Amino acid sequence: MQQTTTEQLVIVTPGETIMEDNEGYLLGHGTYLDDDNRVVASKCGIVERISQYISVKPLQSRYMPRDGDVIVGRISKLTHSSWVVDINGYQDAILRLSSVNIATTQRRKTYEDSLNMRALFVEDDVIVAEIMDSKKFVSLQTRSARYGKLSKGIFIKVKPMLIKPSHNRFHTFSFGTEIIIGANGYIFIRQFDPQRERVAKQTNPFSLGHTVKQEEEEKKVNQQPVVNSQEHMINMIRVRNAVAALDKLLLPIHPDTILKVVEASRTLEPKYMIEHEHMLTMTASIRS
Amino acid sequence: SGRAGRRGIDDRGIVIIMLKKDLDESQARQMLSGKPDKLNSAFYLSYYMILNLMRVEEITPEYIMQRSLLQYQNEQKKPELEKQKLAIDHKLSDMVIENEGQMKTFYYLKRQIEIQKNQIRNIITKPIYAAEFLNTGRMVQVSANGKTWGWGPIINFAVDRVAQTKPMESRSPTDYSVDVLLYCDPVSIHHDVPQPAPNPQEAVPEIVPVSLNSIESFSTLRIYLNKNLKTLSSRHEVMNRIKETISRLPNEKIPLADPVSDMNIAEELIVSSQKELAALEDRLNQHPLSNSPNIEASFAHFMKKVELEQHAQKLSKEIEDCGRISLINDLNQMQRVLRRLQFVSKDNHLLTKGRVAAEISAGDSLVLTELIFQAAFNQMPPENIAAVLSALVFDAKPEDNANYKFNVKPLEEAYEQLLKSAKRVAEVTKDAGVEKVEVDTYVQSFSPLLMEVTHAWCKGSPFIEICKMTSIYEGSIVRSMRRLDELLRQLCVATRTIGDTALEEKFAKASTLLKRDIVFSTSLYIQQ
Repeated sequence: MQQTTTEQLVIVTPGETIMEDNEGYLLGHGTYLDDDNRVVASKCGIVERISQYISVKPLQSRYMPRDGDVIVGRISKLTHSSWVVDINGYQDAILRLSSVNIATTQRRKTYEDSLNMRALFVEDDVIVAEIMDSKKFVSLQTRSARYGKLSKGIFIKVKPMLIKPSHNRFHTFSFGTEIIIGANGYIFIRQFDPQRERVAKQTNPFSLGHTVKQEEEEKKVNQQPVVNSQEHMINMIRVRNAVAALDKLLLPIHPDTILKVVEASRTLEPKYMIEHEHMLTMTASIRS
Repeated sequence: SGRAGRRGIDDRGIVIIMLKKDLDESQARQMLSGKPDKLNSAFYLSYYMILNLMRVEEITPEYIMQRSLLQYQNEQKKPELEKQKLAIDHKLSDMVIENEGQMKTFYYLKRQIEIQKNQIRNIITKPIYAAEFLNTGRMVQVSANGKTWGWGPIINFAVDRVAQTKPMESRSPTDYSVDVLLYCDPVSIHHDVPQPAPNPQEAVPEIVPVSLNSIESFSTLRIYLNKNLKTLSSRHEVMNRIKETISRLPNEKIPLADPVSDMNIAEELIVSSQKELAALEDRLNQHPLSNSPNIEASFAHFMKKVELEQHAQKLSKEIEDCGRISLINDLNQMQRVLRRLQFVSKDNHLLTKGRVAAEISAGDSLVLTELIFQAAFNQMPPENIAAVLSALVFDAKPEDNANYKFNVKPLEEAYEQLLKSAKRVAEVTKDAGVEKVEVDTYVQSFSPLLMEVTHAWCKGSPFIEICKMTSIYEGSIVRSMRRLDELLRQLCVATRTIGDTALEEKFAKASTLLKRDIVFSTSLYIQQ
């Protein structure tokens, strides 16, 4: 939340007057001008002021798309040359056939490709993509090898405002679970696969790869003895429940906070993590 | 000659060169078989680029900079520089200096003496003190640009015309030109710049104009000069008279004018410098090497080694710079500016202002974003908005803007607001460490010359009328208006991100008012 340092948080409800006179002010999202030239809030949230610009940042809203954000989405339907994707926004986004890589190559899509769209993504598939353009309508692209269909994992939806801007949405924990925190509040949890990561790095010339911290953790994962898949599943469930707890208690959702909750939950069986009192104890360190 | 042959179709092209009669053979050889022009990278960082790179999650600006042609070309320079350094290092290891330790202290003393002498010189050549001593016939010691001329009498002096209007305290030594009779190298007097005589037997006395700060010291001695110094013999006469006078002086030393007692200089620095100088010269005389027989030659040898070491250091620094990402300093400074203006958060994520600025590339994005967020455009009618924005797209020389008088008051006020914003941005940029930015030049780069012209055009004036309003070429007017239209388009998109629909409509309206008639016609021959 941006606010000028000397001002306090001002919370408004729809219909509340923010300013008596609109002269000299820029009206942003969540505000409108009424007949008496008063600046009135149209949403419930915190007033944001940057110089003469006033807007209302709603506490609970759908995701507002921005260029460059990495998001997780769900295919809702297919058209003849694109997929319509649900991204938890006010509108669905479009993923054009021309914006995907077919088998890691980038080439012009032919008529046959448009007939074979179902081979790539079908309805209800979960994908991770990047927002290319959000001016007229939201359009996505999956040109990196790290983007594309997500499978064999757990999908969970949280409030978008709990997700801070970050430069890396793909995070792997030391116990082998990978989490993809979409900027739009959709999160996918799956088992980290070093082979897949290697392929992604090799084939994508534009990929930065993981950050240094993650590379260290990757090494830890690769050095661990092969664990059975039930342990993987339990770890994934712990992460999922940790995210659910953070969402319920309106705490920021970030790999650091998730890790704290997971570590605090080691004494518990995963299924008890979503009980209210346990949620409170696990998140105690974050809430303080 | 440009490209010969059709691309993709011809594998050979024929070029016919018309040669001038006086074409040099080497030039012709260069044209026909020489190397192609070197392609040097003109990569530069702009705020628009940085903001858009910071917006994308996968990459960073450094990532792109590392993969630019500029970086590649800098890295290519590295092997050559390393070779040069290696050669110098070899030479240095072969150079053996006797008594190197003592030499170093000797050199240090000499350098300190030089520094003190220069300090003293800087004070005594200040016009407030020196002007009284610029008398005809006064003996002065001259040295400039590393060349020592020795002693000679002042013939005349002149003050620069502009400096004559200034009071004494604000004049500088370079405003004064002093004619001194000095011994010159006979060969050099026929060239542009005379040189001191290496051999006193062959030296020729000539009148040499030097600037006041070339005078090392003044003497209390004044020589009687012949009225006419045009002939060589009269000048020789003067020089001989000087030699005679000196021979009659005690120790044959020319008496120096003491800065404190003779020149009445009251500055504290002069007294401390003189004391320092005396102490240093004492130490130099007591130095074990000062009396050794070959001191001149071995010192010269030592100086060569010092120069080589300095050269090697410079090369090391250049090699180190090659290894880093070029322009990384610029990037850090610019990111600092963005953070201070609150376009970007501390962890380098775009804030609302940054997202607006990332849409603007046709004009100064920082200044424009500041203006938008100050609601500068909200109360202005569309034609005034177009007029103000013309200041951001019109390239004019700063001198032309100096005394522009506005005829329309609201435009003048709008322009004032623009300048205030520009000043703030320039100050923040300078504070962030960008040295090459000068606040005044930056502010003056926004030219008001097209403001009233654009205003009139938007209100419907015909093109011929607006051309009469200014002496700027018609082509420049058309070009600026087209750039203005592009800027308005970008501003529409930018205001959409912040959600002020009224402002967005204003920009769109301004664009409609602008886009008409001859300025925006795609062809002057066909009507479309």
